[in-house]
Amino acid sequence: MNTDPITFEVVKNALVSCAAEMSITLQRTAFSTNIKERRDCSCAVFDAEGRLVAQSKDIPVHLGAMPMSVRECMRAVGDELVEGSMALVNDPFSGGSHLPDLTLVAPVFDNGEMVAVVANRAHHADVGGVSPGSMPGLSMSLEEEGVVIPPRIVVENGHLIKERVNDLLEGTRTPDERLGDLAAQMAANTVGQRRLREVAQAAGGWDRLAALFSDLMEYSAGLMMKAVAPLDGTRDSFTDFMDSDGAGRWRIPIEATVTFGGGGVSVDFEGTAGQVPGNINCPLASTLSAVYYVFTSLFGRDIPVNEGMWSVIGVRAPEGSLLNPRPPAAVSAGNVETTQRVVDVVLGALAGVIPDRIPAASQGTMNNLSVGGTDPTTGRSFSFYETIGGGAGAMKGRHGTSAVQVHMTNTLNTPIEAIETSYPLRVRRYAIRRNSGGPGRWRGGDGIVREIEILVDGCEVSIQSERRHTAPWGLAGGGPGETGRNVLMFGGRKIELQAKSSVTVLAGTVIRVETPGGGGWGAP
Amino acid sequence: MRTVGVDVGGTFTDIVLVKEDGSYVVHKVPSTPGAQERAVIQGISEVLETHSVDAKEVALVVHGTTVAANAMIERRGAHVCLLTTEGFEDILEIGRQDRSEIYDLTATRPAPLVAADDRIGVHERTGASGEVVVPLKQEEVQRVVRLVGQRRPEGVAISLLFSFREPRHERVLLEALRRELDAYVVASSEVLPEFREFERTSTTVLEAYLGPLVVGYVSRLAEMLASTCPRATLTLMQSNGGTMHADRVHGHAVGLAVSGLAGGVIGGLEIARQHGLDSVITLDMGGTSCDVAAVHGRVPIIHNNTIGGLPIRFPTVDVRTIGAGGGSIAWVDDMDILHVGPQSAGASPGPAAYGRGGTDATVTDANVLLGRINPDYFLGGRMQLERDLAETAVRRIAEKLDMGVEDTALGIVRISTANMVEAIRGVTVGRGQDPRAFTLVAFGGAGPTQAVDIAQALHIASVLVPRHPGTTSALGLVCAETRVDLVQTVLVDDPGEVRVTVGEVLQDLTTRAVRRVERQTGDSSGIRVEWSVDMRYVGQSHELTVPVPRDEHALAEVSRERFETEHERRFGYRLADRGVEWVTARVVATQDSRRRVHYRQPGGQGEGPVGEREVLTQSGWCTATVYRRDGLRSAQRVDGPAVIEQPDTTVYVGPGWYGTVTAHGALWLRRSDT
Repeated sequence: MNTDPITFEVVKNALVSCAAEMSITLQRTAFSTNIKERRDCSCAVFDAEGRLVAQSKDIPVHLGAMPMSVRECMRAVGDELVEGSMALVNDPFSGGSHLPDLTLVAPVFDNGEMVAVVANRAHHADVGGVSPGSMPGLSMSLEEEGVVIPPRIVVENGHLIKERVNDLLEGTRTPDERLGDLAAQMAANTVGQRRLREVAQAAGGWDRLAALFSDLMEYSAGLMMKAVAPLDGTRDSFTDFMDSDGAGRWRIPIEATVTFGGGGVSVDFEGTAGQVPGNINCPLASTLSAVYYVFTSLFGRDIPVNEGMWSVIGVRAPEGSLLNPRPPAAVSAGNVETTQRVVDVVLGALAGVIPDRIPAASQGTMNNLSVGGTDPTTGRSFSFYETIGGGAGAMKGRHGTSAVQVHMTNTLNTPIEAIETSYPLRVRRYAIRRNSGGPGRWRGGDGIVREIEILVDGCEVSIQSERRHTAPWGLAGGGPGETGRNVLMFGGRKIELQAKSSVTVLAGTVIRVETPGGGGWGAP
Repeated sequence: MRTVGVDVGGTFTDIVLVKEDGSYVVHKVPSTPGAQERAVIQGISEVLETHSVDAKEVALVVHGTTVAANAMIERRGAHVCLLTTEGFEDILEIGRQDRSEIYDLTATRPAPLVAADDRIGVHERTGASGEVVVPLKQEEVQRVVRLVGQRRPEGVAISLLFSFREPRHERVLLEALRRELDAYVVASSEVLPEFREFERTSTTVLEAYLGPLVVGYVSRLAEMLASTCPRATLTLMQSNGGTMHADRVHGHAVGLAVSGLAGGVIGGLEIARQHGLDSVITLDMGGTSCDVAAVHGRVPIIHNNTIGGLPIRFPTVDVRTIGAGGGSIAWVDDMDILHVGPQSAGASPGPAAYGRGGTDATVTDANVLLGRINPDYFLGGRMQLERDLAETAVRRIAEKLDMGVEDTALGIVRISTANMVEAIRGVTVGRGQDPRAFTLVAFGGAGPTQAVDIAQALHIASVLVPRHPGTTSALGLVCAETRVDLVQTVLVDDPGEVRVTVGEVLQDLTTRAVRRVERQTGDSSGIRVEWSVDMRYVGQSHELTVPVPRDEHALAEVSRERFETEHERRFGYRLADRGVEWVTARVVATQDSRRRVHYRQPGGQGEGPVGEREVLTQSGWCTATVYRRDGLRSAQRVDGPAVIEQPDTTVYVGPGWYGTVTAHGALWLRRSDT
């Protein structure tokens, strides 16, 4: 280490608050429900080479996923990334996750030299494509999912150049909201730039801070290495399945082998299915996030998030597979659904190594529900999107929590009183789905039942969900949780929908989502 | 006539007895956690006896109690039934469906205060504009009353969807239940007529959960007080920094839940005001934790808070608490990096230097080694500190770090300081304010020892240390105003409607708030009314609270302009072509207590230094002059490096700083270059 342990501690904490302050600004001023209520966003600080040095830990699905986007921006438009400029990207094949996640990258300059980078990623409510909310149930190519933005400069001298985002503004159903969200993302980066300058001053200049960046990565790497060292020489594999890809493929395997050794740990996804025609393909950045989430939770809750930490965790996902697809694969559900299964599979393998520390499978889906249409009272189009919590898996010594967001997401629900004030929707029921958790010495948590009545004609309902066929597994003799269901109710009829669906409905239709329970632990 | 302020803390109950001219005496008794009222009454009796004051002379007792907060933390509240709209009985348990710790594989969150069996759905429904979608029938009311009755709850909370729009159904249930049941029944439209069902329900449940216990405590105390001080009125400090008459507590218990931190902020502000300052950062640093608040003219209020992990939407003094105190433990991680806290050695065993068996190095131990704290004059010499034990403890840390003992002690203090600096940044920069514009008011046993370091790190040029740093909170109680906060969600986005809709609500809230103040104080003069509106751009979902003038005519334009200005100040931009929304109307009615406290610092020739000792600074050892606080006189100047010792704290004046003793007894420390 180049820095004394005292200065190191002081500056480390300041960097963490820098990312946190960016995040507060973004959430407080954004317009998309996804960002403001559901905190589906994250902010981070990078060194001049684009290596992640600090990140707000808002949502696991973004964990460690931004560095690839930042480096792609530096590679593609680095020359134009001058003082006062910012670059935008959402291309899943340039480090993105899925199209609604827009990453805005801003360099930090000192005396004409780029000394650091700040960036944030936020889930916009609509970026065009065939379905409102840009989370189509049944897409089969990236183009159907919305506007693809390769790395490009969109801010110069601190101002957004509107022409540079014309494709986005024309493609989206809610251009005003896009501009509002971009303003919030710019504000967050500006806060980050300002705060980082103060940190540099406190650290004794940019050279010192740059040295400290390296130390910080070394520090996190060291802590992670020490945390996994006791498991050296252990290894196990596990296979689980995705229900469907929404395009005719069923029971799609994901396999992981976890090996501890050589001063770290490696996760190999050999044995996983090849990429599929439907939209559950998971970009590599998202696959990495899921793996990092597991190891952060188990070994590194107090370790500062940065690339040093990741350097200890090797991940191999075969190219062209479900977990490292090639363009132009459809990916919109990969980030939200497939990542949950990646977590299950890695945990499943770890259960063979450290059984007492691993919970049974949780609901394993985010139950993405979007409803879009035109509100006849205002004549304006609307799109509502939410994810619904479910049961958490039980663990030795404790029951699973009911009706909660698990693993890769922790987004808030939208208050019913906010939904009904803003959209032509009425929530009919929002309850815990009793007895849906798996039986066991320790019971799995119960899922949720949510019923929403659509009050206007011609709305499109899209669902991306999982665990409708393969139940969340129990451990050590505990039983599985109930699988989830999606049901459409109208005119006294009930119609069961597939896990991935898109339907157009009439006023008075009720969509009922029953989310999965968590698995149980130990024989009942 | 006299006023008494009584502040209950975890270890001690502090009492101040104030004469009409503002002069005061202070007293401390050990707290009696099982029955707080015992220490309160004992403390009052003792202070009166010690100073030979006739109990009949006490006209007012202002009390800060932790009864509600403790009940919440220990989960000792009432058995509560919750009534909700049918189909939404689980809202209290589901909450916002998030988990408290993201990187926790077990996805935990606090258990709900009402068990599933005690949550009863009512067949009724109101829609978003207040229209009745499913009417509440008489038979349904009877069914619900019967069901609740069978469960024999001590408290009942009613929280139906959209009751902030149309409270009729809640009122029908409320009346029926109050008629039929001997329980503490409250409705969300009265406790908090604000939108967002989970937060409103949670706050209403807290009222039903805490109410029976708090009302019981307050009536017991009032009864005991009636025989101790027969002429005294009893008022209570609320979380919003104002007081409430004890007989008004029914239905307002939740307002006491986080009141424990308000007194210190008010006390700090009061002392600053005596010095003509009104932008201050209060820093109350004790043994285990540190509370900071930024006051800009008046006590800062936030409208959302949590207690025991559960949301509480009651206006609360904006105080940030972190685990950084004199007892915070220094430790080294696996990568040889030094950390301080949040674990604390507490009072027992305490810092290693206490010699009570503690072996962990704490911030206090480091301050002993740096020469700031005098081991022979701790608590005025009543407790001997062991420098050797402090050194042994710090040496163990130093060896792990491969550093010298001295550098390690400096490092411990530096990190502890940095932790407080981050907390202060949170309440200043995080709220769009520049800390350099503030004066730091440092109190608590440990605050004045590090105040100069903190000020230096934040580029703050002036620090104020009150004469009695340990009783700032109790003094604050005495000065607090009477305060009533009322809110009503309006959700209006048409500027043309603002004057009538929002204006009318503000007027109506004003009438009610003023009446409530009058009823409590029996005095209608000098009631100050402030209006504000929570606003946002249409489509956002976090609001900014914008103060507006008390005039509905220009309300739409003025509020919009102020909202945009504030949005720009806080977040750096405005969106001129975007609509705004008036979400919630707020009215605050306050009445100044017109009570002030004064410590008159004797003038004349002050005592010179009692000695010199070496203190360690970032640039090495240097010689500090040592003073005793009791010997200082008004206008006396002390140049740093200096240490000023007093029984309840140690004030450290770093090099490049000087202090002057003010007429009010405070030490005003300033950077020499200013």
